This record gives sequence, C-alpha cells and structure tokens, in this order.
Amino acid sequence: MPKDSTLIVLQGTPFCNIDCSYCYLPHRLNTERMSDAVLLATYERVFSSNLLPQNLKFLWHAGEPLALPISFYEQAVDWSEAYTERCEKRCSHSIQSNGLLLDHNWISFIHSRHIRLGLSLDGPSFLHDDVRKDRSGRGTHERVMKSVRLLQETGTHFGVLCVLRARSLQFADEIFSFFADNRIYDVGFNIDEVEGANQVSSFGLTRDDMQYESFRRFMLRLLALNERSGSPLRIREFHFYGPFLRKSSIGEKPADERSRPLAIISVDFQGNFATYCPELLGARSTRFGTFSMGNVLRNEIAEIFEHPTFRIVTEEIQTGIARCRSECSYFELCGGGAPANKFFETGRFDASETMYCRIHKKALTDAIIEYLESPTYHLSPGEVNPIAARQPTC
Amino acid sequence: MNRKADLPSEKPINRFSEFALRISSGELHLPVSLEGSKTPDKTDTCTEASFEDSWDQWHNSWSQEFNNNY
Repeated sequence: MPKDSTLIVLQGTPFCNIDCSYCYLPHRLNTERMSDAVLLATYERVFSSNLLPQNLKFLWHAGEPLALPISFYEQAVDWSEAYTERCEKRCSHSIQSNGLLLDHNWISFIHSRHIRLGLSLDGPSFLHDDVRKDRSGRGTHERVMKSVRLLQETGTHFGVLCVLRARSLQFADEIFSFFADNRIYDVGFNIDEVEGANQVSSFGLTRDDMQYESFRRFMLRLLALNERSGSPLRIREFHFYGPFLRKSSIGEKPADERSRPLAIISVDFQGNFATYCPELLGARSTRFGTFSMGNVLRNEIAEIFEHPTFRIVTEEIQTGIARCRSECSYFELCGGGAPANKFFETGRFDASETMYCRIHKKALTDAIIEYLESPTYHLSPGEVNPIAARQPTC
Repeated sequence: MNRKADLPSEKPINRFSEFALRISSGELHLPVSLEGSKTPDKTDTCTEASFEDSWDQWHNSWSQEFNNNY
C-alpha cells in the first residue's frame, strides 16, 4: 500500500453465512450490523483527519459483507461520496466475499458504483470443499463457481484469494490448471495462519524443513507452469518481485505496511478502531484485553497515539522489527513482518521469525531465486524450461 | 545451492541486488509472472472512463488492498 493511501477495513457485520475451518474471526454467528451512526462517525473521523493521506480505500471485510442488504452499501457509498465532495480526499470501496450470495442485483450494484470485488476460492473442489463449508457441513465450491460464471458473463472484474494448506502443496498443477482453465486470472495465495480464533495451522508452528521445502517447490512449480503457459495468471506473490528487484537496484527498501501506524485502520461494527493488522481487532488476549485503540463515536483518529494499547503494541512492534533487521537476511523484502502473525504465534509483538514468514516469505523468495538462477529460465518461444517440465516430487 | 537439510541461511538480498544490477543493465529480463501479465481480460466491460482504468492498474490496486488476508 503506497503511503499516499490508507486502507480502512470496515466490518459491516461480524456474521458469516459459512463456517470455514481456518477462519480467524471469533464472532461469526453474531448478526448485528454497523449502525448508521457508527458509519457516519467513521467517515467523519477519517475524512476529516489530517493524519490520513488523500486516498482512502474502504474494504468491507471481517464477516461476510454480502450478508447485509445492498441498500446498506448504497447508503454507505452515497455518504462517502458526499464526504469526498466536502473534504479534499478520494475514496474507493472494495468487498471481500465468499461469493455465495452474489446475484444479478449485487453485480449491478458493483458495476454501477465501481466496487472492487475479491472472492475467496481455494482452488479445485476437492481442496476448497475440505475447509470452506456451509453451516450444514456442505462444501461451497459449486455455489462459488456459479457466482464466478455470473461475474464472467457480466464482465465484472474480480480477484481471488486462495488459502493454501499443507495438503494443497501437493497439487500445484491442479491448482494452476483450475484457475487458468476457469479464466480466473488474478490470484493471491495465503496460507492458513495461526490467527485469532484459528489456533492451529496445517503448517504447524515448529521449524519444519519439509513444510518449507514443500512450499518452495509449490511456488517454483507454479511460476514455471505460469511462464510455460504464457503467463495467464497474475499471481500476487510473484508480482511483488518485479518492482522489488527494480527498487533494489536503486536502493529503495520496501516496508510492511502492517507495521506502519495508520497505514491500515480497522473499524468494527461497534465503532471500535485499531491500526496495524486487521486480525487484531476482535481478538482478545490476557495481556491486552481487546486491541481496540479508540471508538469512532468518542475519539478522533489522532487520539490513537495516546491510547495505552497503541503505545505498548507500537513499542513491541518496533522492537520486533529491530530484531528482524539484525537477525534476518530477508529483512529488506518484508521490512519486519506482520505484527499479528508474531503475536498470535508467540504471544508477543517483539518476536522475529514466524511460521508465516518462513513459509510465505522465505520459501517463496527462495523459489523466485532458484527460478532466476536457472540459466534457461528466459526462453525463446516454444522452448520448455526444464524446471517447468520437471514433475513435482512432493 | 544445497537446500536439502537446512532452512534458508544465505543472504538472498545480496543475490537480489546482483539480479537487480543485471536487470537494470538490460542483461537480464524478468519472467512475465514477476512483472505482471499483460493478458487482457476479454470479458471486461467494467472500465468506464470514470472508473480508473486498465487491467494492470486495477490488478495493482486489488493486490494492494487484498494483500495478505484482507
């Protein structure tokens, strides 16, 4: 996220109509919704704050946004547009959805109000339906794919977030083919992390050479398959490296926006707000209680700097970043990692390496390096990269 | 490179810098996957003039907003 924008994660409702086994959200059966007063107070705070940059990117998430009626978002977009006219700021709206409730009415709304859409889809049905089930225990893949078809038929942009579990790493070819064959071009890959309500990851928490190696081989295979096929997929994890390498050549260093105060602000349906990783808001711990750092009904954004939770968390995060800087040879890639992963894996923010960064940063980086080091990766048309031709061994 | 036994202990940044120099000198071209595919989506009808834009811009924005779990 560039420093000229702030991501504001809004929880319209904590409710979710499905029950994914790795979800980090703790209150997914709570059907309450953000009130008009909370939404207006949120807009008032963020649009009027001199601490926030000109571009505000609202992301409706942390529950299933489409569980609320379209009229809720029509009002929300109308009000935000009114604020942009009053204040010298711009804004956009995005929705991250499980896709089950999408229909022509939603798509019409998404088109007419220029909403950006992300869907959660974990690849082929045999992987997706293992973990993304409805409340009666049925897999949701078929229903999500129906929505995918609807989006494609109506020419609606969408991206997909695919959560990889340890088991998924055996199926690089199947996952690549699934997305390519279904013309799902924008894909980001997450892993099932230990966060919030999800206290167990299929990757475990101990240093595990096999998990590291499996993920590295998965990403290497994915990169090779994509290249060999003419790069139909825009894979978020790879896309980062082109700009990074160019920045490396001129000495710029990327930093993780999740560690920068106010780069991300999360507001829950009750108006509680916090900065840093959105997964923190709604979580509880014995040390901090909740991670709320204010409430839009009572506090200006600037008051966050006086909040004791913010002060303690920030100090620990900075200590953790310093440790990463001194200990980790991958530091310049990630700038010190994600605070939420550190906290939920170790109970502290001043930790350094996590399972998440071993897998999602280091193994990925090593896959990229291996590909770049391959003397034949840059091929003429028709040539086959030996890495791409190699069958997966995992 | 021996990755058989150990988790990474090398200094990949140094090697990235080496790649970066080779890229900036024009000696090396990045794989398309690292640059972002230019494949247009033929189904796209969503790009009204007022709506910022090309696929790449949209993709970049999407990537940023949904980076990590959001």
